[in-house]
Amino acid sequence: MNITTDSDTALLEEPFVNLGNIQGNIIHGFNKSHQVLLGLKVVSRDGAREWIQCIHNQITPASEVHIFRKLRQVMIRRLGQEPKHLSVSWVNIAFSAQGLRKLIERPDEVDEFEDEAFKLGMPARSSSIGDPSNDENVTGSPRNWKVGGEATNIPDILLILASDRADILEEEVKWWKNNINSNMSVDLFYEEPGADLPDKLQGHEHFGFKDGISQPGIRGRGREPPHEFITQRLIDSNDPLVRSFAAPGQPLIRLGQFVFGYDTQDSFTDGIGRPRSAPKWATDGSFLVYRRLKQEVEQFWDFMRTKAAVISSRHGVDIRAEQLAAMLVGRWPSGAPILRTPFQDNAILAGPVRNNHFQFNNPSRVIPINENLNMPPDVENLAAADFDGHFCPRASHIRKVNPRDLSTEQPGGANDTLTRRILRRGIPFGNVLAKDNTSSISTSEDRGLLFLCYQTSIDDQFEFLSRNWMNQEEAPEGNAGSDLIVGQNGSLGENRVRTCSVTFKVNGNIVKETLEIQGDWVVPTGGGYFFSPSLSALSEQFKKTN
Amino acid sequence: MTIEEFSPPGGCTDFDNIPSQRKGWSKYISATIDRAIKEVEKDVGSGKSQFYNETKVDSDSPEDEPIIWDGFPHVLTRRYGRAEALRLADQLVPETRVMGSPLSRVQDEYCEWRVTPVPTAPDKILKVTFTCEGPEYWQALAGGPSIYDEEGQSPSDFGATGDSDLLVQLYRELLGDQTIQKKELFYENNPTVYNPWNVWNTSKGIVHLQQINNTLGAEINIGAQATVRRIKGGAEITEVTRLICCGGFGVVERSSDPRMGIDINTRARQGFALTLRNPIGIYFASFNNDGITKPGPNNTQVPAGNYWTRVRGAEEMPVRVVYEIPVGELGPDGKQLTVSDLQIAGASIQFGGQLAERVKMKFVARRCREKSFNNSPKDCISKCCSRNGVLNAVELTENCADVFPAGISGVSPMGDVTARVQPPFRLVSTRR
Repeated sequence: MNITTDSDTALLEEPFVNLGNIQGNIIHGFNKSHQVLLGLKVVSRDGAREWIQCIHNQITPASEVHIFRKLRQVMIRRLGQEPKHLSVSWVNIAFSAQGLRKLIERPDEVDEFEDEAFKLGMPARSSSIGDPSNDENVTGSPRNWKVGGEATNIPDILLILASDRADILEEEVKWWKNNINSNMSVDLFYEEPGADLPDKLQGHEHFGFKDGISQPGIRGRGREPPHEFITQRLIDSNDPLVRSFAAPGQPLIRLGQFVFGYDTQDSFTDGIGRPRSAPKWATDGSFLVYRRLKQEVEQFWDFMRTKAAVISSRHGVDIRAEQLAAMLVGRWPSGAPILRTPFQDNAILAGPVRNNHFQFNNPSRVIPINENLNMPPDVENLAAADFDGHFCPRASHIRKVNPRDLSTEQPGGANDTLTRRILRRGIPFGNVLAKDNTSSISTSEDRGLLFLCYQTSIDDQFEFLSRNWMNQEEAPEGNAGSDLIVGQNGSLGENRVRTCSVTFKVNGNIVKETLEIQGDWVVPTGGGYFFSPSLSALSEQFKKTN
Repeated sequence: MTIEEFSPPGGCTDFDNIPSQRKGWSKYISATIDRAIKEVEKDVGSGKSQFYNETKVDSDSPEDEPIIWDGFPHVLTRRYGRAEALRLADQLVPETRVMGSPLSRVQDEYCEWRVTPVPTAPDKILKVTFTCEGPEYWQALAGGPSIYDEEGQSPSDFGATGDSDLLVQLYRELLGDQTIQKKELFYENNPTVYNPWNVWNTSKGIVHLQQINNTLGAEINIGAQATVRRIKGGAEITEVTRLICCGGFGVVERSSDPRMGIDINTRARQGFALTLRNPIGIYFASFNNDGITKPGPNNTQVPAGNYWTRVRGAEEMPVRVVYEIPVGELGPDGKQLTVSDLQIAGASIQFGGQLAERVKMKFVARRCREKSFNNSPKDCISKCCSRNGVLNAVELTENCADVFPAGISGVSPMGDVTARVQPPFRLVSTRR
């Protein structure tokens, strides 16, 4: 990619990244259609440390993921389509705080992490992010979680296995189970498969919406020549936006927000933020948040159908269930942003670049794309400013968790928002619920999302998004309302009722409709806070004791 | 319609039995607003201020919008990190910008609090008392010359002559201490001048805001100044930090000032006439009780009650709150629970600031007549420099690099743009 002289200074902002030392699911993400999570308990400290040394070379670094992605792109260019037989299987490993304390050289070094959330663990923190309490004894209460709800079933070690093909993954899982069983220093007690939804729902989650569209761009270049950017830069190098965005709607964020040992993002400027305290061996590592989220698909669509009919009848308009759902998500099921196409889904606007080219406080402009990429220019249906949320409601999920160029209740505005971003690596689990009644798949069968994300502060990033923005009505914008999709209301005496409002134009007038729901469409049924160490830390901190 | 008068903040009724006090207060607030408008008109031209005085100018079909910010001092977190910020925020420090350097709270988001320890166990917290009452109200109760206003501009000059007996009576009631003496509330060497940093509002108690920037006057000033549209490098400023850097109307790294500024400025750009909803004041917007737990049986944690209790101010306009476990609520050990026995998100409560982190503050902006103004944006009157990692708005002529020079694109793809920290209140003299 050509870099102009003016942008040469931008290169100074792009640190060398130790891709060979960082685990592969963090920066790029495995992005595989089939994954399995394995939760292990340490039975014997010395034996487990020895076992970790034995499996150390099975852990996939980011450098391999980077190479694979390039290979795939080269093959797509040659074939004109997705290669039929390009498959790998990859593995990453992470440790809970209690797992680290059992295994590392000096267990008290875990206290050097400044992040209280990681050290306390998810069960202690769960009510602060709105999860039902154990007292309530409902599905979402930690005591009823499938994993991680109590100290006894928090995995000490979490393995993530991933592959392009189910049969390859099956082999991989078999291999690991045999390895673990024969070792006996670690005990496998939790197994959770995840897979891309089939057919037209590939890349979508169970409510039917395309997932994982807007990921942060990351500043950084590979340490090895040719020192390629970690995040592909799509914007024409002559456009001033290239200094701060990788692509329209994808700001560049300093790597320290996601990986320890690198500069963090300042919350007021494009500059460097305060470092996050962590043990020295945390360099090139990252916190992993795992949430097993059950999705109540039938209830979700029942609400949308019922409410859309009520609204339509009340105001003499034609609001469809899909449109109402799109308003609450912020995107149509295809991924097209509702801000750019308020009244119907649009396959073109669901395409790459277009699906993320919008903001809320200011109107969008044409952003020239690097001509080497041969992408058609995105010039039509550019998003207008929508400060009041008339087109993309303030309560819509994507606006609640990523306010983009809006000011928020946090000082620093859009710069502060950059410090809240997370790298999402989730994958669905469970069978698709058919929309008609012909399927034998039960509505009560578990289905949902294995939500995984990486960051260097669970408190300021993952938990902040839940606690401060999704769950609160007055944030990130005033009068925002709750995020009905994923937000929770754990407040005493409020019966988990969540409220927001949406607006419609009816005969030229703005009409407001309040939506209220009791109960959750997304229910936590497991999870944990983990640390994914670098490959060198894996080698040094878990050495066999002589 | 215009409103008849500016009412005391929070619906407080202390003025009701003092002759002419309410009227005097209204005139005082009106004069403060008029002065703020005059300042704005220096920028936008006479008669062109979008900020208006609701006792003199109609509000037709107004819409009210609460502007919300975090109660915990963001400046401290940013400079010292959370752990140290919590420790510092609970403390009193000498305020060197005031003659005599009285001890002062450092909480500067219009939310101040004081920790009361358990008398028999001083390392435990009995209660945390929060206030967001502006010092001018208490100045008005005290009567006499005001350190917050220019000569001739104090509440008493407008007829709010106060009642010092009522003042000390309220102090005694709020603090539960009948030994408080009137003379302790005034300057020793100038007994007619009320001292906002008196011991009963600092080291021995808390009654109202006393951090030097936490004033009603500042709130009004920011509200007015934020209606001035700004331009830099050929592009109108629409971003929160750049706006306060350019307009110089407050402290850049706070939660409150920038948020007040950008929300009002956004409406100004939409052409609205703007003011602050009566009764003008700062209020507690909400307290997030999620994740606060108390000890339960068998070493568990169970949800705690919501102990955030309004003491003064109307339900929607609380100005004084106490956080305290009710007497008789016992732990599993049979002992009275204290605030220190609670946990927030799994961490024990050691500082009042941990509760302040759960508090949101508000003031309410009022707007009407959309698109009735089309003032051209004005050039910046300040810029932001970074010193030791701290952003401050300074004079344009200051010899330091502008953090947001024109022409460099920022987070907003609309490209860019590009402040003098002047405490909005003028400490005329302490007259000590």
